[in-house]
Amino acid sequence: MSRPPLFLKLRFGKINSRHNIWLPLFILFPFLIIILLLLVPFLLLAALVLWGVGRGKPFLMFIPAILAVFWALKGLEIQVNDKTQNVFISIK
Amino acid sequence: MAENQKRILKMLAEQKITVEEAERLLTLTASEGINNNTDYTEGLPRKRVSKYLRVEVRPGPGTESSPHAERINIRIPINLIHAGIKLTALNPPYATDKMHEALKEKGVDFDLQNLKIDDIEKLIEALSDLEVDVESGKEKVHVYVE
Repeated sequence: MSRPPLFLKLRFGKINSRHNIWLPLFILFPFLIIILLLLVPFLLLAALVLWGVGRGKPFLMFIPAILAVFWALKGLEIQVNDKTQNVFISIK
Repeated sequence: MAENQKRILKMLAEQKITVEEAERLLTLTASEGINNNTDYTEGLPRKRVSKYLRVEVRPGPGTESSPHAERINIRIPINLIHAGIKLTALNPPYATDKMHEALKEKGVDFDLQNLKIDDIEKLIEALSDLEVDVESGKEKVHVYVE
């Protein structure tokens, strides 16, 4: 089973003044879990109310789909360079 | 059967290695086979599992020294594409319509609702056998999977 992304690495700035930032994403996990747990009853209620008109499924599948996207972010890398500027984003 | 596996079995037959060591080595060579394009463990070549879609944009010939020459390197996990497609399926119809309108305004006539995971799988599978190179006067775009 794959693990969720744990770190976000950011590098940006001009050639002579680059900034490197490591963000430990795992620190955010407890907050994320709390937010998701708070959202669950509202989403279930919305799904139940809107099920009759055929719009309940998005509310029911919202959290699993968002978690799947978050899980899949591991390995994403974006690098944009020109002569003077440099931006690098990496999720590990 | 791969040459390495034959060698391991021969070493086992000659009692140069134990059964446990042979098992460990065979597991290692099998995973190596998956990582290298093909795996011949059962006689038939097996396709490598692609993990990332790569998009590289480099300055074209003669524009490397231009002050506006940009280099873009993006590595997108294939799983993220799958998860993104599943997420678009949850879009309410009115939001999808607005997205289509916005895309059309930008000159992209593309229906996101017609995007199916099977089609994307086929596209990625096809990309594992080929690489797309687009070269205009100013830049070179290289798309491939790894």
